Amino acid sequence: MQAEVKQRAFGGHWTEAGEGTQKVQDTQMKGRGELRPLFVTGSGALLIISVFLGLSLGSVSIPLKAIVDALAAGPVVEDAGTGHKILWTLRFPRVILAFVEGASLGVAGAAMQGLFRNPMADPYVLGVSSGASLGAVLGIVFGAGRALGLWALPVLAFTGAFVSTGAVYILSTKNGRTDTWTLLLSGIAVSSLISSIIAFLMVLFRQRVEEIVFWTMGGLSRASWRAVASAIPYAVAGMGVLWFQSRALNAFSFGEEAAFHMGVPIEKVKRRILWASSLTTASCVAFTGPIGFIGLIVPHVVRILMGPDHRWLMPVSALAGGNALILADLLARTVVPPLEIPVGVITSLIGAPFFLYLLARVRKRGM
Amino acid sequence: MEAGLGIQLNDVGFAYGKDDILDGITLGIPRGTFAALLGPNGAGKSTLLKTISGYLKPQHGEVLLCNRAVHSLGDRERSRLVTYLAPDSRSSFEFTVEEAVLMGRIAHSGSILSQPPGDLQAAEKAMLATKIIHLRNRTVTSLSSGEQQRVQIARAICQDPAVFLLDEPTAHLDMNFELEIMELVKRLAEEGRTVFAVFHDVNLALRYASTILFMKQGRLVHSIHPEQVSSQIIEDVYGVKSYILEDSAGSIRCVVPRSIARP
Repeated sequence: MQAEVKQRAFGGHWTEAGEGTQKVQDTQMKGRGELRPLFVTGSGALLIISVFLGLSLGSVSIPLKAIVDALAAGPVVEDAGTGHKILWTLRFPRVILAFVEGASLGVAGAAMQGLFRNPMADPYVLGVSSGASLGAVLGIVFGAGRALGLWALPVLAFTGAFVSTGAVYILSTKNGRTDTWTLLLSGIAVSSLISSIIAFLMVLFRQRVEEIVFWTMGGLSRASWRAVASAIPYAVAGMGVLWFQSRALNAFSFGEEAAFHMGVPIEKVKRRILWASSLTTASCVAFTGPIGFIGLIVPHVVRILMGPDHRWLMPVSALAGGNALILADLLARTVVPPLEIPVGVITSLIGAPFFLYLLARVRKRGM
Repeated sequence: MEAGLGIQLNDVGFAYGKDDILDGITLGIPRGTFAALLGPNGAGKSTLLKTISGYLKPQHGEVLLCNRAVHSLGDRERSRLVTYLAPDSRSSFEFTVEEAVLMGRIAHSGSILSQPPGDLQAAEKAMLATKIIHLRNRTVTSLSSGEQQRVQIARAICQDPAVFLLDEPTAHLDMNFELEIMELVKRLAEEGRTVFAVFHDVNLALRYASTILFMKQGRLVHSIHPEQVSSQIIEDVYGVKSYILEDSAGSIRCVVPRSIARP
């Protein structure tokens, strides 16, 4: 039976479809779309578990009931127990900052990888971390902490991040057009220039080396309610702007020229991504120092699981990145008590092998 | 067909630095026409298409598409009017065919939260027309070059502009799909769209296009009907001596290169 199948094509014309064999062979890959809600729910559930673990475990263990009670009682209570104090002054802000920073790194990493069409890009390629480090190092060596107080280092780091991003932007923009490759190359050049300046300062100010190293290794021990309150608005605004570039970033995967012809305002989109990802990253890094690997690995893993559509990739990278940093920080402060390992060491130590494992698995599946 | 010009250029000049790539191009292509752009390598064909699409800004002259100056339009408005298809456009990420075709709707719907049902229908039609519906859940990176080419054409159809600028749309296609795509492009023009396409293959252009434009060294040298293409013109443009073969019905004309013309 050779039933003639005709299907309606565009513009009211009939096209003959193959030799009647146009039965849609739903193929190789099961629709990734159907799995997405599952991944979102899964990451949400995991997050709840991580938050609980992050609050509960540490030098003092606090049971779930005590956490719930402390939350219900609110921050200010008379005769607060140790558990209540630890939770409200240390662990809540720390877990929240870890989540926000991890989320920022995840989203900014996804945006950078999308912009550069390269899964090797991370939120630091434009010089955010080196700029922030230089700002903080200048503060440390010139004793800005004494002159300006608690806010000195974050403010200087934040400023440093923006100055270096600005330099990278100016170097790669001509006649209102930003060249993506120049952007990447000047990011690398500016970063290594700044690194050498930092090294130079470390030689000149040897007595401060320990402080500098501690800052540049990154860690959440400086988390506080102030840090949370000042990082969140920038981080959230930046992530919001980035998410609204999702469809543009999808189009960018076919190249800027193709995106232009799909109706994407490419120059505006590049500028928004550049500044928003710097803002969202810098606002966290200013308090914690640069934390590596999350912004590289999280979007990559999420892309493998859920596909490259940035509308989903970014929110799920936010959940997964926040989750990952909460857990990494938990390990950092609990593996060798009472010592605290810099969280960047943990993220690389676990992240790198996990990443390699995933790469090997994906290659085997021949995706 | 319809009144008016789909593409109109008045004395358009474009230079990269000091090198003139387009040298005072003036042309008019009526709406509903399938016009082919031919010429030797480096004649400025791709530059001309990208100048018409609004991607390159000419140093002088103006480009009108359906009577509107393309360089003064906003990005989305422009993309509902015209699209350009590069000869080799690959995704760096594993989007599915359907996702890639749906990107053609960026110019139409602004929301990132929902995909209007009309968008899905447009994508479906485009995938049926280009015969890639069975590949819809495959990732674009896993396809052959010819299949990827068809995905790009489907994306352009899904975008639904009035003017199609196609840069070697039959690159990477086998004989069968070459004809399929030519039929499809011809049909786009019959439906009232204006198609302006660069071809490497002169004979394919002669068979399907209703107007042939020849470019040489940044200038438009001939604008003629396919049956007017002569061995003299071929020698003039490409520097090649050739025969023109015609089948008995006169419906298929074919240029057969013979030798390089010595000046």
